[in-house]
Amino acid sequence: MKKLYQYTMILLAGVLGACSSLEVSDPYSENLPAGFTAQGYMDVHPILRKLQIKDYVEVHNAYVQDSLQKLGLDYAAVKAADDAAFAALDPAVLAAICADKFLGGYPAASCANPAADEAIMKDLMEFNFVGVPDDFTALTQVPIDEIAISQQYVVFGQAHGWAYRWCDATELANPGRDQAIIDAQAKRAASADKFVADPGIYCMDAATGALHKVNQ
Amino acid sequence: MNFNMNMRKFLLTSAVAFSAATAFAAENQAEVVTQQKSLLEKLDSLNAAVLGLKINGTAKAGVLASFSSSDQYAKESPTQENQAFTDVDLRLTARPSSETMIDVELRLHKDWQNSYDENNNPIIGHWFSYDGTILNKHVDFNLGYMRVGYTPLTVFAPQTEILQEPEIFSEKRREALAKRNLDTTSRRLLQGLNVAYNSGSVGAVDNITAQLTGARLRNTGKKVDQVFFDFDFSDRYMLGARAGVESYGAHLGLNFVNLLDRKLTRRSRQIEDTDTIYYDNNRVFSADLSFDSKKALPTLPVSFGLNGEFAMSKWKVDRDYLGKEVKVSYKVVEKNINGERIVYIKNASTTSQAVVNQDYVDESGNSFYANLFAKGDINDIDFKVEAGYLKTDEKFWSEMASSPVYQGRAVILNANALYTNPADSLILATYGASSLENLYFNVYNSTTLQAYNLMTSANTNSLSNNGDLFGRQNGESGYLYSRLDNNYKNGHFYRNGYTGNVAKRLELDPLMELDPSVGLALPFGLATPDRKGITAKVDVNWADKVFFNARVNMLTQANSLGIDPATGLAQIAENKFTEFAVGIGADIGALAALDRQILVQGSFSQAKENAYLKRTAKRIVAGVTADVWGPIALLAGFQQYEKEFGNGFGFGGAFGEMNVAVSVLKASERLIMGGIRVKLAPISYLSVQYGMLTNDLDYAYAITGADGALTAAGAEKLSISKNIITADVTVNF
Repeated sequence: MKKLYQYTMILLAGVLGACSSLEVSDPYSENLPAGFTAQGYMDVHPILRKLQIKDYVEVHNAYVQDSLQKLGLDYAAVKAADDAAFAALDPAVLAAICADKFLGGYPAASCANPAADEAIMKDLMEFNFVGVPDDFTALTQVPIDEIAISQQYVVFGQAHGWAYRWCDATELANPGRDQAIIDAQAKRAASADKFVADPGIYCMDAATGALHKVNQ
Repeated sequence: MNFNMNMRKFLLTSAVAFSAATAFAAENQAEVVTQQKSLLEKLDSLNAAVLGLKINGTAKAGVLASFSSSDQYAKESPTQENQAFTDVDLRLTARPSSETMIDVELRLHKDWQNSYDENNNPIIGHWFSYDGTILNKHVDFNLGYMRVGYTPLTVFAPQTEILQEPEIFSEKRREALAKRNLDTTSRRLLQGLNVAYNSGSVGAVDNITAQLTGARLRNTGKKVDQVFFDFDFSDRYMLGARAGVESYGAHLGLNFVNLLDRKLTRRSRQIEDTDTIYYDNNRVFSADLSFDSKKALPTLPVSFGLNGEFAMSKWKVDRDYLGKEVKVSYKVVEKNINGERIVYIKNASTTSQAVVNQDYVDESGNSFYANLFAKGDINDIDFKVEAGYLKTDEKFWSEMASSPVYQGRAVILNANALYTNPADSLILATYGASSLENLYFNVYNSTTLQAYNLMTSANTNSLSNNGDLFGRQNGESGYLYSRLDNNYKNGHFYRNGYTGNVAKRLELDPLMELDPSVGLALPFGLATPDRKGITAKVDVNWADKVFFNARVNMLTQANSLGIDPATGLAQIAENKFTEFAVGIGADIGALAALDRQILVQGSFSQAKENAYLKRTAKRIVAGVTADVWGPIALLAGFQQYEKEFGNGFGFGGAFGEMNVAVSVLKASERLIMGGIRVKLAPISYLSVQYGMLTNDLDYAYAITGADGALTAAGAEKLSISKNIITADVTVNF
């Protein structure tokens, strides 16, 4: 009787083992369209990288603030002095930060003398690492969090019809987004189930910025 | 299951067979054993080993008055300190069987000076042990307090050696040690379990020994009061094991000792921001070999032999402190970019405090020594000559063998004195009073517990409300940790230069090395790290009438600190130690064939180093112990001790706004004592003594104010002299 039980268990274990797959599923890549790369997505939407870098600067500054407070020093004064130093940076460096695709992201024309433009300066000031003398180099070295970039597509981009890569020549004739969905998404949905998701997957025309459906 | 059944059956049968075999063997021995046992019991009963309870002990009543004077005292400084006490040490021994014994020692101490404010006087127990020799005297065990010694490189207590120390001094030293539960042997005072097995003669082997020791050690000075009396959450343990074989006068042994901090208990408290907690682990493994020709050639008047040991050590420290831990989490955030609402994923890395564990030290080293000796007894001349070589790596560390029982640096008598110059106060606080005072005097008080004596004050010598090192009022002393040793919650307090604590290497106060009373060349005994050289010893005793001793040590420390003569900067230098000591004693009474002892003793010793602080220590000892008439004996002693710091010994401290830096150049100490002792009963005495203790210190100092400007500087001399009178009656019962 006991042997029978043992054999049954062995059989059961064998069956379970045979049915299971050794393939490890990856929840990150599973939800993304074929050919998706974080770098490619970031290239189409540089704003994501800009926000990421700003967050990074913010975390750094919060750490500096925390350390200074522990030492009993006034953070506000240190920050004000450092901000003044940032504003007084070499205009060429400021222009570079302003025009960088992933930093300021402003057109080159607006970046001739950023210090003169109050709105741009306010934006750029958020790139100031407090206590770091060479801000530009530090900014270019901020590590890219690819997970945060690619998951934005899963959480928001795809449903809102964001292009995930540049179009190739064959795709330029494909239709764009459905106007009804664009209109529906322009207003905030009253509840989660009233939200109209865009079922399509799009690429972007690098020249015009127009969206085209990707054939699946 | 079938298999199990078979196995059980097999085990059962074999167990039966085995027990049958042992029972058979036991039956044969039974007769011999009972015979032996009855014989031993008879012997034991002769040896006062009567079953039941026995009480004996010592009662001492007396006074100790010390009158001190110094030009450096402040006008309002107290100059007199009195102790009037009755001290009773009770020893209770109970024998539940002829083989084992329970030993409890209690101390009752009444201070007549403060008797009016003692509402109740606690009795403290200072020895609890259960000892025995069991299993046909093959196994010795100690449970509780015990003294254990293995070998000079594993478990050992380095002791002070003063050649031909007159009885008036040695008795005082023994008494100061006893107040700390210590004795003059090189065994360590421990609390735990010790089991030793001796096989006795087995064929060609004379003895096979095996020993296991486990003890709980003091870990750190405690700063925070525990909720439940004195239960210390910081545990530290010692585990020791050794085994040996003896045959034909040769002994071969293997020894192992491990000291460890138990992390779990130390971390039961939250670490504070500025805390760093160290976990020490010290392991030593050694092999010792000795040979004595006496056993192989018993007929020769001279025997010779050797003893040596090789040890390997590992010292590992890791530490915990609060560090930052970065935690990455993602937040979905909505943001308005140029009028368009977008959602993106924010990398929200937060930093939080977390305990960081870090390896701090990991060192291993070897140590080796070998001694050759010859000893004998020719025409009533008993002699022993010994010479040896030792070599210890800089990285060798054996904690259990390295902490000397004498640590000094306390202020024993007139500790309440006040000084005009803050440099003098600093010297007394850091460098301590004279080493002769520390070697020979101790004060034992029972005082009502109060916040003052449970904490330490910033001012070293008295209970004062001066600020601490950070200028806080009523602050704790910056030397708090080093003084917690004196903190007995029972209300019994010491001022004593001895300690039984096993100090960790990180704790070992560098100042401890500066008092050559314990040995300039080998402050931590044979286990002193970074030493190489030769030692030699001669001891001669002619029929207990004339005694002669000599010691020579020539050692080198390869990696000592030195000073470059050209630049005046510190550099690594080789330090050569040269030590020698000669002592001679004669019992004139015995030489002149009188019926009384008139022992005259004297010795001279000098120790020198040629680098580091360029210290020189000289000691002259002389004394007389004489039976004058009937029960009256005269005791006298003289000792002069001088230590010079060629390169000056510097230290600093802060007093409120002032910063004081001191460099001690020379210390000259002298102690003259004399007195009479009257024998009242076989081991009961009345003793009256007078002593004069002087301590002169030459030093240079500089005082700077809060702004860093020099306010005072110069060369000074601190000289304190103390007149000491003691009178006491000691009764043994």
